Amino acid sequence: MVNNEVSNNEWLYRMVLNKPNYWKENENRVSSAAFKDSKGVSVDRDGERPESKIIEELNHRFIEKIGGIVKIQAGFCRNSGAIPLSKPEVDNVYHCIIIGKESVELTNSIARQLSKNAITVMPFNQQISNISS
Amino acid sequence: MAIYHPPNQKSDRIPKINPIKQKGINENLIPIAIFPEQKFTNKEDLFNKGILLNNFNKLDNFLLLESNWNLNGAEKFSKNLIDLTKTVINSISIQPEIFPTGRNSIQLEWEKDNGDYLEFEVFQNEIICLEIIEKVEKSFAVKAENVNSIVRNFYGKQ
Repeated sequence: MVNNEVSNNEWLYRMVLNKPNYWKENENRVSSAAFKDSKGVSVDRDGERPESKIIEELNHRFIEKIGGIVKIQAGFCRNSGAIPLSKPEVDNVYHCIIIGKESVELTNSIARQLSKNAITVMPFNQQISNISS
Repeated sequence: MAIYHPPNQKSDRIPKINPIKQKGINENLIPIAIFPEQKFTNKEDLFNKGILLNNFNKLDNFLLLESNWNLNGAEKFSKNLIDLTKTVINSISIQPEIFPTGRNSIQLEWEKDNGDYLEFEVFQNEIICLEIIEKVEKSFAVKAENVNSIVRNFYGKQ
């Protein structure tokens, strides 16, 4: 059972699309544009799962679309002025969204902070191959 | 209809050392019809024209994205927004990196090695600038015609 409250030390995993490309080659990280969404930034919380399992599950779910995976800690989101909210789905109890304090959308400044401090856990276009179905 | 440089044609428009080619951009895809009378006088000019065309191409590809392209309900991009963004980047002497967002806007980005950062988010009805210089942030609305001067100022050019 996953707690509704997202704790500060939980990691939030963001699947980044392969097309269009959000990867900034010179800076070796994703653009803040990947954190700008009118419906909130869709992420998966770790839920005490091992990172390898999270990466594998994201690759499974988004096999045709995934370009890379980055992670950001919930506490960092809160310190930056964003709010991580648990929003479980029928097929994914770990689903969360990151929203702003005054509106669902993040400000440009917050999106920038999240992208700059996000840690890449699956580099762009290095999808896991031979995933068992 | 675009006219293309023939693959092996020698021309004074293309310098011997072609920075576009070095960046992996196919020089044969430069449609000279866009710059009919323009001579490329230096490498930087040619380089930026190549990036501009690459950015036009990216924007055209954004138009092909269907509804829900981000798997989170994003809308299809309107031709008006793409055309507005093309007008903006066509006026810019130093080309940005371009990314679509999931909130119906197009983001233009520049970043220096020292961490200074400049961004314009182009919406249908407004353009929002985020400028971070020596860790000092400013965010403000700008008019399309002022974008180039802000970019040039960011790079210390008059």
